[in-house]
Amino acid sequence: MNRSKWKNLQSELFTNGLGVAALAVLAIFTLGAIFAFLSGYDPNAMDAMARLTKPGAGHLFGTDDYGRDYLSRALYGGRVSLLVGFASMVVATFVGVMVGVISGYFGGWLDNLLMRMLDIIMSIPSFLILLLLSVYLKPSIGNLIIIIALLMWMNVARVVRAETLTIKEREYVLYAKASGQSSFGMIWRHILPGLVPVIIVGATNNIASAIMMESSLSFLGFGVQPPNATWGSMLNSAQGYIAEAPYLALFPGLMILLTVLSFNVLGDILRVGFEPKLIRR
Amino acid sequence: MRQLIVRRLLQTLPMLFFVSVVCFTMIKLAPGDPVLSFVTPNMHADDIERIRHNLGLDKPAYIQYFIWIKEMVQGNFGYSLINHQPVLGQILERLPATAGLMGSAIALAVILAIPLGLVAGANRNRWVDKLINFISYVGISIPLFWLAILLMYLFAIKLHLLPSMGMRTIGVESPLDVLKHGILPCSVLAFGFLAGYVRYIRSSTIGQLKEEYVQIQYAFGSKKSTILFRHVLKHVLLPVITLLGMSMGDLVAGAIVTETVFSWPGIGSLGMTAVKGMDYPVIMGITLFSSLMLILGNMVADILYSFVDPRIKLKG
Amino acid sequence: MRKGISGVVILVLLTLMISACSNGNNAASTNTGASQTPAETQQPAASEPKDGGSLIIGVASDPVVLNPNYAGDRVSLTIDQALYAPLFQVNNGEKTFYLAESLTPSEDNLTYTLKLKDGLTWHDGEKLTADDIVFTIDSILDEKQNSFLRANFLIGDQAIKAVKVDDLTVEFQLPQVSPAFEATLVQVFPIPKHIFENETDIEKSTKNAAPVGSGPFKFKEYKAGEYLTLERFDNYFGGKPHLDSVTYRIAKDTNAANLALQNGEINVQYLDPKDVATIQATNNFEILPYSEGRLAYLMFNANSDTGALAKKEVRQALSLALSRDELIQTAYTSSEYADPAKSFLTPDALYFTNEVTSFDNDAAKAKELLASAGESNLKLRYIVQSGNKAQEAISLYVQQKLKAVGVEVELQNMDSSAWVQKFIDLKSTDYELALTGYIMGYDPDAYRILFTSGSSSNYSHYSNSEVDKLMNDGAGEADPAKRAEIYKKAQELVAEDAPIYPIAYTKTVVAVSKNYGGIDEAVLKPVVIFEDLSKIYQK
Repeated sequence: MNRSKWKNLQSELFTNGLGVAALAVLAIFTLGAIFAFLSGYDPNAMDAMARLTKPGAGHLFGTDDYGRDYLSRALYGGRVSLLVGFASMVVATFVGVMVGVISGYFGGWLDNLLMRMLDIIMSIPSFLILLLLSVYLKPSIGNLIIIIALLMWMNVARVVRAETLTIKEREYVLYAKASGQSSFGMIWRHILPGLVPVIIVGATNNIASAIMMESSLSFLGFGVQPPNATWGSMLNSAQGYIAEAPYLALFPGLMILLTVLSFNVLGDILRVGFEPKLIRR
Repeated sequence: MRQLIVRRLLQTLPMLFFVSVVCFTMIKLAPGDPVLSFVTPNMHADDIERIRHNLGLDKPAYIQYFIWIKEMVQGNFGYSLINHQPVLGQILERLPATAGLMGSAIALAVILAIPLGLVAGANRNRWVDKLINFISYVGISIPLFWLAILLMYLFAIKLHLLPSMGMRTIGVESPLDVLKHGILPCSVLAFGFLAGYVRYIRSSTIGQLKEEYVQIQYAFGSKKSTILFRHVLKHVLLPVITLLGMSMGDLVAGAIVTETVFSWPGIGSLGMTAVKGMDYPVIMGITLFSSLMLILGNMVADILYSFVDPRIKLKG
Repeated sequence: MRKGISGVVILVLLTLMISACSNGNNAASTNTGASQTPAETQQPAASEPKDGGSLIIGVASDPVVLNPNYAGDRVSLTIDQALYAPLFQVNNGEKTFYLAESLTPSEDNLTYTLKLKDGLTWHDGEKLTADDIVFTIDSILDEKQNSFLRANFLIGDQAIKAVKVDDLTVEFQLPQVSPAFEATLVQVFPIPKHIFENETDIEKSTKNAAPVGSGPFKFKEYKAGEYLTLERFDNYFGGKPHLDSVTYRIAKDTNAANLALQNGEINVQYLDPKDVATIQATNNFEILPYSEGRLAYLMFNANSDTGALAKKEVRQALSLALSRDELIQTAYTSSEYADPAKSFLTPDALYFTNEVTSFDNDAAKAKELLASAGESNLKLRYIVQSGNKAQEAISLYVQQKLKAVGVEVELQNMDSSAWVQKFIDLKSTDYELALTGYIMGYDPDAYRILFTSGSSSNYSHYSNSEVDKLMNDGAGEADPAKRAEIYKKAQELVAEDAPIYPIAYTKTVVAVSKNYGGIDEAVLKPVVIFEDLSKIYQK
């Protein structure tokens, strides 16, 4: 990755209004999640007298069906949603890059084996697996991260493998190989750096889909367990009050939408930023 | 060609076998016990054992697997642990609802996506493109269940225009009635598919517009819209075929969330019930069935693709 | 566990599980106020019942099996109630006879003679006779047929025998005196012998897909995942039903079901107390809370490995730390949907009294008791069914309140099957608290399995030899006055020892569209909603 490429990326990011907006949204949500405790309310403290208070001065986002402050629940929920999204992205990317590089670099029977495995896993409908796993593993944040990561590493592996195959054939790599570097050294010094763009783009898109998966699972009641909330589980309970308190459904839904949207926008900008390298994809 | 198809078909068998092993292992490793859903506080221990025995759950896991395979080969996919009915029958009973919903959602998405994608691609970086692009961003980023709730709120609760749940008004047997019930879930799903399709078509339109034949048409003085809809469209339809093939996998499992929200009586809601009741023959049945659709879908897409564009060799 | 009303207990567990699945929709349901049964408050209908029309009842899942010998889930039981007629039903100790005309015990209480009404027929026109009754009981008792009800027909380890006397008379022979026998017969809904006679496995028989019963409505069609429709049975012995058809609409999602209710796509539906306000606001529904004979309570596991709850004083102290009224407010939104509970018997039970010792809402005294028991830094584990709203709300509340008296509560969330597994395993020692409930029926003997030493359902591991003796005496005591004395004393003793913290006699809340009448005559009934659907009519 040379300097000009980063420059290119920077200008893409900041000249594009959407990009700036996406960064801003993510910054606000992340800060909100980190400093959630500043909201002044315990997100799990129930107040039977203040059920379903409309948004207003005391409770900016109103209160939910147990009288819990909705803003602080949304902030703490964001903490879980973002954490799960980020962590499963890290795990998935790590596994995906490992498999992809090994498969692409070494080729032969190892490649064959890994790719057949991948085919099999990919031919099981992913959401069904997601449901199965989350019912059978005890629902906890850690397990949720692992489950979601397990379903996302395949795409990274595919892309990384393809990219590794092309990098491998570059002259400087062939030269380095001829000069007797170890396989590990080769991968570390020459292959991985070339993979950075695809990894970054893949990772950004993965966060988006991880957050989406987490919220779908939580929405169906299989995700993070109460009293803790995530945006998805908040939507689940909000559904029951849609007629009398539509704001309950509005806030968490908007937050998921904005977050996922931002990551998707960023992913695309990054991809364009890394052009022309990635233009063919 | 025929040989290739046969070979691809034969390849799906070991794939399905592995899928079933993976799925079965996962279920068996899980801590839950399906017998528990039958246990009552004052059952004798031997009553519980009797139930376990009757369901064949007292045998070692690999034997259970072979029994399941046997049922599978005999063509009924085994029997549900809960209501003891053949699994295949239950799946087939629910299939029309899911297939109808998904089929029309995909069709709707394609019909909308083609003009949108073409227009966006032809007007790259102009406001139309940016607008369509933004809509498709929203499309891939919006949680479908949220969209479902919002639409339901608007059309069923506020405006009372459409029913909120189910597939039929009770006692009414008319396609129109089913259609009316299907509008909301179908729109939700179509919106989800739409975004992906539009982006795909847009980028291949951009690619096509750089091709020589387009330049030649321009040189002949053809109008832009003529070029777009008469010539580019043909080439753009190719990737759509692949897309459709890939959507086949979603046909079965993809609608779980939407079916849940709208109480649509399809395979998704059957799957939800099975997962909750640890009804493993049903779970296995649905998983295998959707894997099969996924694999076949991809295969059909490959084959069709090679028909339309002979330059592409069919991968063995 | 001998006679027991196990079928009913099954329901409790099933209810727990079903409600866990449907967001706790039903967990908050059920009852108390025996004082107000629909039958008593019955008023003359303003308008004459009209014939025709149809009714749509919302149910939470597909029925599992439409055969009363196997129905254990709420939905199957509800539909079976309309498809099949019972022998008789009991409300507030009063029998209402359906297929049966009379039931007479012998002098020694060892033989009961059941007379059937004359001219009964099945939906397919075949005659319903004593043969069908005997066949039904024999199938239940046949081990190979796996009926849930089997345990009910065993007293000790001996089976109750059913013998045909003539076409309209059946004799039941009991191995020993059992006052709870009538409660067992209440659960019997005869199945047709001519249909099932040669089936090797009735539960799995394909004939259950087109059931033939004797109830007010007969099977018409079933669309899996959508609905099940029954149509009027003109030869119903209780008179031709008013409605042309009854449809059970399957709405797995509570929220969707409530919307459908508001949109008029469903006419009758269970309500979570929290949804009552929403539905009431539409002004189109009668909101009917009624007793389900269920006690919701917090269980103290005296057998946990820490041994913390083996001390009576600690259990009393924990009870004192909690407030029943606040708990009810938290879980059921209003005391309208749950009555404060003090006794282990439910208000519909014979000899019930709520005038017993109660430990409630006195944090200062709780601390005192804990100190005097020598307990400090007490740590308790509380198992919670995840996804069940009432469970969650109460667990959070309990955690909050016990913290105030210096007791730390660790909440262990688990899915409902893991929860049930842990709960019903009497050897579980790794938790101290659990919220649960039971429906045991009207005969106090049914409660014996819950509170006598070493009994099969004594989950709290309560042991008091005096209570053991009283409960055993009560089972065989034929004199009602003496029996009343015995159970009154038992209630007081159990309350004093606090093996459980009774929270509420919960109520089921049902919304019925105002377009329908005859609800009082149909009798609102736990679990199955209406006892006799033939009485409902469209206004």
